[in-house]
Amino acid sequence: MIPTEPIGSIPRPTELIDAIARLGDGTDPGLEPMYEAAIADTVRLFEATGSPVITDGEQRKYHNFWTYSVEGLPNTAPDGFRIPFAAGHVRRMPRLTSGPFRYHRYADKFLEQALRHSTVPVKQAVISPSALSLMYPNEGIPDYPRVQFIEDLVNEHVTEVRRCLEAGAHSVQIDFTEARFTLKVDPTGGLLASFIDLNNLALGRLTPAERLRVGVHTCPGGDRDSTHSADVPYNALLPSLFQLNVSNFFVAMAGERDREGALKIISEHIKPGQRAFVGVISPIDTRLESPEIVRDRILEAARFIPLDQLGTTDDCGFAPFCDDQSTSRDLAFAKIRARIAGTALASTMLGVN
Amino acid sequence: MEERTLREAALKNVEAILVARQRAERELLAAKTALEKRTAELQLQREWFEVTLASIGDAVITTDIEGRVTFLNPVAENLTGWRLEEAQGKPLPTVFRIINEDSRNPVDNPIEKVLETGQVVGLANHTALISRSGNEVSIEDSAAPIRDADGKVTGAVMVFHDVSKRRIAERALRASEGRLSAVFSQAALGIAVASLDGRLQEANLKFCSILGYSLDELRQRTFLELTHPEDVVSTLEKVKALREGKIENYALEKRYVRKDGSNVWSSTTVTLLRNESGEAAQFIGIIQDISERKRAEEMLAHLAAVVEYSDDAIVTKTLNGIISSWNPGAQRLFGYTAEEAIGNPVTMLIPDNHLNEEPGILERLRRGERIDHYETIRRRKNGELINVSLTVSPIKNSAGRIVGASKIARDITRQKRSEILIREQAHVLALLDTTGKTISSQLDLQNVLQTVTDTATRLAGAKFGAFFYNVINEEGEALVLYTLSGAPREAFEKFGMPRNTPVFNPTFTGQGVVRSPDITKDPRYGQMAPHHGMPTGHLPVRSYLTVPVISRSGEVMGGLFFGHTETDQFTERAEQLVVGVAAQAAVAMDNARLYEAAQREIASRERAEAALRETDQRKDEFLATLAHELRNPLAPIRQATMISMAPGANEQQKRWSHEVITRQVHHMSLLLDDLLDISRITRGTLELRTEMTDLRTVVDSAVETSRPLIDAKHHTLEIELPRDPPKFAADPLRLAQVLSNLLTNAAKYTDPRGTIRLRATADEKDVEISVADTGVGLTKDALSAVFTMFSQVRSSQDRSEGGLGIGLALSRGVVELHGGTIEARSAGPAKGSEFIVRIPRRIVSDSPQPETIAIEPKTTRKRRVLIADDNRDAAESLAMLLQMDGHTVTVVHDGRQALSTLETLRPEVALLDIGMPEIDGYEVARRVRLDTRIRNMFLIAVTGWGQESDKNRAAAAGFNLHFTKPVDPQMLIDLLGGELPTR
Repeated sequence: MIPTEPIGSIPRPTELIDAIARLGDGTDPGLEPMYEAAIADTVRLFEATGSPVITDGEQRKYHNFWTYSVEGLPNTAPDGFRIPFAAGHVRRMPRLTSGPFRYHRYADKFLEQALRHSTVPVKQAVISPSALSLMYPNEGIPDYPRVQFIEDLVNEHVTEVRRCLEAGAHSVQIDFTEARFTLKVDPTGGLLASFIDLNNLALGRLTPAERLRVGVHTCPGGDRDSTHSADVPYNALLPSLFQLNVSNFFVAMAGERDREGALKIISEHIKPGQRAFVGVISPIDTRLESPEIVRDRILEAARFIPLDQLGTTDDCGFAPFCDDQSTSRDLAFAKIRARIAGTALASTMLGVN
Repeated sequence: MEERTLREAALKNVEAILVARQRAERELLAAKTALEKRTAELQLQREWFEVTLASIGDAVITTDIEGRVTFLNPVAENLTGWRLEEAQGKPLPTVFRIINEDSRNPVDNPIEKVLETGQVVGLANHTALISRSGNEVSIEDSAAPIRDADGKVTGAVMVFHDVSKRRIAERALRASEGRLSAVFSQAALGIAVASLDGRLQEANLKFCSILGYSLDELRQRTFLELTHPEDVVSTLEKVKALREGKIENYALEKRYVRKDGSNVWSSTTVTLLRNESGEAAQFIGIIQDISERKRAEEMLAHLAAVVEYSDDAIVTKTLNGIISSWNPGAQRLFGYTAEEAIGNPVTMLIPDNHLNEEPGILERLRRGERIDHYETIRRRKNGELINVSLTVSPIKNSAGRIVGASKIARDITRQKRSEILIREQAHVLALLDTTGKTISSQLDLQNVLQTVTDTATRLAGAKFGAFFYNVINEEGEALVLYTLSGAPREAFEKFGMPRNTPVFNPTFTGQGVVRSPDITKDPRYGQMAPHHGMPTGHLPVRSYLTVPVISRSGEVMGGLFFGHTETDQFTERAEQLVVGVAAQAAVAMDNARLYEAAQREIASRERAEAALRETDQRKDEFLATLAHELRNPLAPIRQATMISMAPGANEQQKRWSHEVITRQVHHMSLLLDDLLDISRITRGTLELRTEMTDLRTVVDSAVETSRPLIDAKHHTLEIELPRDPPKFAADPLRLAQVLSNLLTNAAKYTDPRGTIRLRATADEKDVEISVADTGVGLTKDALSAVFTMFSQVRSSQDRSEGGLGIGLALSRGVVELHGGTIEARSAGPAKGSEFIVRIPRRIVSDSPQPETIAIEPKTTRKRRVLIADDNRDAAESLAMLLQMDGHTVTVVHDGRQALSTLETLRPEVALLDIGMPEIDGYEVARRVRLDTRIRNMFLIAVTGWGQESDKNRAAAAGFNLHFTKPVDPQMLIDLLGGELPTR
């Protein structure tokens, strides 16, 4: 079958979200049973969809996919850069106040918990170093130069990726959703290029074998059924995206207005040995895609991307931010089920077993 | 604003990222440079490796991770038949085909396992490479992974080489080793290898078997530990010399101690093995069990010693009879030295009359027979003939052919003599045994002694023998009887018994044995007249032997006499034998005598028992008669008493009654007197009061006593006395009693109006008084028993005449007490009887007259009298009599009362019974005499004990007088009425 993988997040159970909100501290030990139950349930439901590769639904990422690794750092302040979303809400990044920069937690801890419950391969999503690079304040930090910060950031990222791989992750997915956003900030593409370089700096420290198990996800940034950069055309991003020194790319496509254009760009820039997992499910679309729609989307992508470089995925996670309840868990799993089924249909039609 | 700030911040990051990137690029460049340098180095190394690989003798093939050939060195090209460019990229099995040499099956190439496991795969054996052209090459191969810098397996390298030649050599070596191992393990000799410290390392089966240990057990030991302690020193000396190089090897006969503790002799050869450097490395020892040989050697040595030191002559000879060996025993037996004997024919030892034995012996030997215990005669060097026992055995060579013979000769001369002696001894013992049995089984003296004589004669080897012995017959006469052996009785009958000559005297007096080789030469011979030697006609005796026969008590019972017509025939041994027989004869005679005495004693006892039985019977009859005779007077006494006491009795009747009572009491008193007398006679206590007695007085007294019966039966009594009747010592009363008894019997046993004749004669020696009658007479049986106690002629007349039947027995007793005899004669029944009494005429000296009681004439003295008697009737009746006579009488019934009454009443006279309760009469009398107040009282013992001893005892107790019951009342009245006699 055409490879198909999720992006990562699944809406948390309401009671978990409420409990976190009530306690105000996602690290409260009292939440452990709820986290455990949420992960176990998510894994069960994920496997029930027939997914060959699942995630833990990022149930323990009690804040979000972006800042989970630095939440609670003592040398941070909550008044970092804001990321505005089309829906009008803003997500704010923490601000590094002093050095040295170190992760507060690594995603392999989440993986371990998921692996206890799963019977199928589990992939782990981690945040890109480029996204966390925005934590360093514009004014700089006395006695902690930016260069050092970048070095530390790259080290931490590489550490996290290796930890996840060594913990048994099927693959590690680097969330590079800020990629499209950089073009919004810097249409010249310089920032994007620097982010590509930064990420490649990190990827360059992985071994080729490790890089074979690393993928990059990019999307317009979904949150509460809204995005932060869907208006940035893909053609500015995709050529640079495939410069990343990874094998797998998870590219949102189902929500694109010009899917064919994007697919064409992908086909022009994808390198041998790389695989593009095109998004065939839109998490922010409240409508449930049917397997046939998914099939058709796949067939569409297959007109551009060679089958041995084609995969399917969701455009994004269903709840990148913990408190996102715009999509229900049921809908999320239904969409996933549709993806699986549609991929199967397409695979059959395309003769991919 | 926010966005601009974000952009600025992001762009600042770009600079930092750029800096980081530049650094990374520098690092990458440096890494690239290093990589290039490293690559160049690797290339050089590769080239060097390729050259090396091309130069080494081993074949090398490398593959990639997929197992495809990446490199072959020339050796590999040569062996596989593939060139590098052809092989590159091909799967290894295509280029490298291998099979198992033994099974011929394909074998997986080691690179597969290396790529699978990432581990080195070691050398594989028995692999054969099939080249491209089909050639087969024995190889050994090994493979290892090729790893990159990260340790990841990127391929594999295999090294292999042609081992064909080596394989061939190995096979040859294995074959050689196999043969060597087979030789080692299966060798008939024990082979072992030991380290320099002596510890056993290897040993073959034979070695293990010889010592009894398993190989594992041997490996825990050293050869010294296995060596017999006595052989350790010699072993160590050899080992030392070996290690010092003084010798290349050594051979030693030594003992090992087996596991079971037994010793095993071995011939041990030890060699020192050296290594390639010439240094001593190991000992190799070869041992051979020589225990059997040692035993054989010991056996031979032992046998040689046996032959050398044997007392027997051990000689070997050829089949031609030539002596080939001669031991010291042969020299001692035959007298020849070995030098004198060896080489000479064995016939030099054989007497002429035994030469015919040798061919037969040789013939049997040639047949392989062994001759055991062949008794024959041989001749010593000095000509002496000796008895020998020969054991001859054939000697065989190793092929089993008989080549000679061995003879063991044992001197059996003494043995032969012993056999003769033993036979003789056996004969003697048989004779003695027979004699003993005869003696012990027979009690007839004549037969026993005849047997003894015959045996002794044979044992002595005499021509003739005789046994003269003494016996005492029943009459008490001494007789000399004899038994003869070897000669008829007629030859000796006329010569009478041997007389007490100097030759015979020692025998008859029991002095000892006389043995003479020639009696005619003995100085004691011919000393006595009239024959001065043997009487004419006597059997000639030269060798002479006599042995006294002495009983256990020392009595010489007789003598054994042996003679032989030849001289010196009787040996000491013969004498000893005859002495033994004489002892047996003495025992036999003693036994016979004892038997005869026992027989006589038995007969005597039987007679005594018969007499006792008869006496018992007579006693019973007597007792019955006695009872009858005692009852007879009682009846009239009772009747008379009743009449006397009857109220209507008149004086005449009373008087008559008193007369009857008096008469009957007198009669009973007579009976009792007779009984007492016969008892005294039987017990020998009757004492005669012998005095010079006038015959006429005795006769008159007797006639007077028996006159009433004579007159009552109207017999005629004729008395014939000597004109001058003699006086002789006798007890007149007793003698009168005897005559009275005879007259009474005559009167009793003669029909009325018979005739009784009393005739008395006397001569110097005796006084003979006979009483004859014309009465019933006596049978022969009655005559023999007439004087026996309780004898009466059994007839109705006897019974009617009454009497106890003890009169004649009493008479005989009295007569015999006088030293006389009494006999009865009768011509038979109804022919009257005659009884003859003979009393020897003895003069008795004036002996003190028996005390008589002088009875003073009757006076009218009245006394106070005490009567003490436990018989109340007796006491009261006596008291009544005395009272009637006017005496004052007190009566008591026991001794204590008597004493107290005597003290209180102090009577003048005490009449005391002896047998009273409390205190008897004797004690009363003693106490009276001790009591000063009454010590002079007149005491009279009144008792039924009337023996003289009783009277003496009474006198000793203090009685004045002793009266025997029944007391004559008148005598007592007269005594009390007159003056009492003094003590």
